[in-house]
Amino acid sequence: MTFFLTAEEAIIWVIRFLSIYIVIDSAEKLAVFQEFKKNGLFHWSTMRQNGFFKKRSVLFLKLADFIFNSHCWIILIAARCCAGLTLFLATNDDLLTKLMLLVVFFTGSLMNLRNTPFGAETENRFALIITGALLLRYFAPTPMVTLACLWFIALQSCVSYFTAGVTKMFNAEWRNGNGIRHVFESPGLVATRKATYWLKEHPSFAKFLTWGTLSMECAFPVALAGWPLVWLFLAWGILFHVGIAIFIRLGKFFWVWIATYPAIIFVAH
Amino acid sequence: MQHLTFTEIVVVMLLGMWLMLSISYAVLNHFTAKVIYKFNVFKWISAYQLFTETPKEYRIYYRDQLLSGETTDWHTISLIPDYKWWHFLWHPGSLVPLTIISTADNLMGRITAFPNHELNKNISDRFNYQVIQHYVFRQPVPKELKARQFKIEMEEKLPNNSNNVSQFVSNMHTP
Repeated sequence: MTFFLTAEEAIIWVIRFLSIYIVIDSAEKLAVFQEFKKNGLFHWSTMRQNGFFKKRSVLFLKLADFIFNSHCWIILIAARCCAGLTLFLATNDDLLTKLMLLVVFFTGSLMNLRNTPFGAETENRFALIITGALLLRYFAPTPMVTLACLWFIALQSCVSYFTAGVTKMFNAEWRNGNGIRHVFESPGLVATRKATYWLKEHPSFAKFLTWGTLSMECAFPVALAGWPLVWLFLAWGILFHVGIAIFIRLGKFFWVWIATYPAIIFVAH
Repeated sequence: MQHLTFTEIVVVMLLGMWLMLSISYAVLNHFTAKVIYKFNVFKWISAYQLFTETPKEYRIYYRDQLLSGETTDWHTISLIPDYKWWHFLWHPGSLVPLTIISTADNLMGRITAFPNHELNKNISDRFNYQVIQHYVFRQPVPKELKARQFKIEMEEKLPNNSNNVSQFVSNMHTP
């Protein structure tokens, strides 16, 4: 038995998973909004001191001063949160979906620009790629463009796993099978010491996890070859992201990368 | 064969170009980054290399010089939020510590890369230094504070399984 998604269903599920990330991320930022106000770590007056912004034109800075100050910024983040919520609930209305994707793409792009001094957040960078593709698709929602959009999202997902796997191969610690152990030994990343001690006592399992991660990431594009490989890779991907969410507490990665899976399922079939 | 409309052709071409740029960025990262750096301000083109490097440990400390002339002991600033079961889904508290760790990483990366370099003489003018300084001054301040100094310790695993600890101590700064 195979589980199949039509192109329209795949688009709807991509939007649903992506919108969960958008709501969580925006709500988290609103929850710590004091950090975006005066004396906060992300206050615009602090960010503005970075060389990237210092080099910009007067006009750019005037515009940035207006958009990135805490009053305007809280409105934009709240709008992003509402857009995410609307996308989750109203995926059948084309015009509304297009408008909300536009809001998410616009605010997400500004978030990356504003955060340049600290580096744009990885989840948001990938979410923007998916949002951008969906937005382009809504400008011409024909079967051909929908197909191109789903292929684009599926291939971007494969490229992201493949790049992550291949670059790890350049690190001797990962090649020696110690990559996962080192991640778990870092209290800044993994706060649950029990898991760290358990992996220390079971070095063979730690090596198996390291090589499993490397192999699956590097071979991920094979998922597009079709059934049953696609299910093997997606099952691994879900476990991998659940592990990252539980142990490294990077839960938002789960929603963004899982959002690409309906596109992979569609393309693989 | 079905004829494509002009809009369809434009959208498909845009998606194709975007994909090609992303692949080129992922494969030829440094070269492509140099070329598109100026235009990629919104980070629409990215590469994902998470956990590629062996994680380093960062510890940040501060100490105060009091009006009496006395210098206090080093205080540790905790960068690890307490673990709660719901953090896998909801963890707003991670934003600041993760940013500080990443800032310390950038600062120490520069200091250790050019230990005696002329550029590092003005390190206190750099953005990353000022962010850490700002964060350190957010810690409890005694009434009789005259100046505050911070220290960053970076611990990294070496290939021979030993640990190397690098240290950076700032100047004293008045509040």
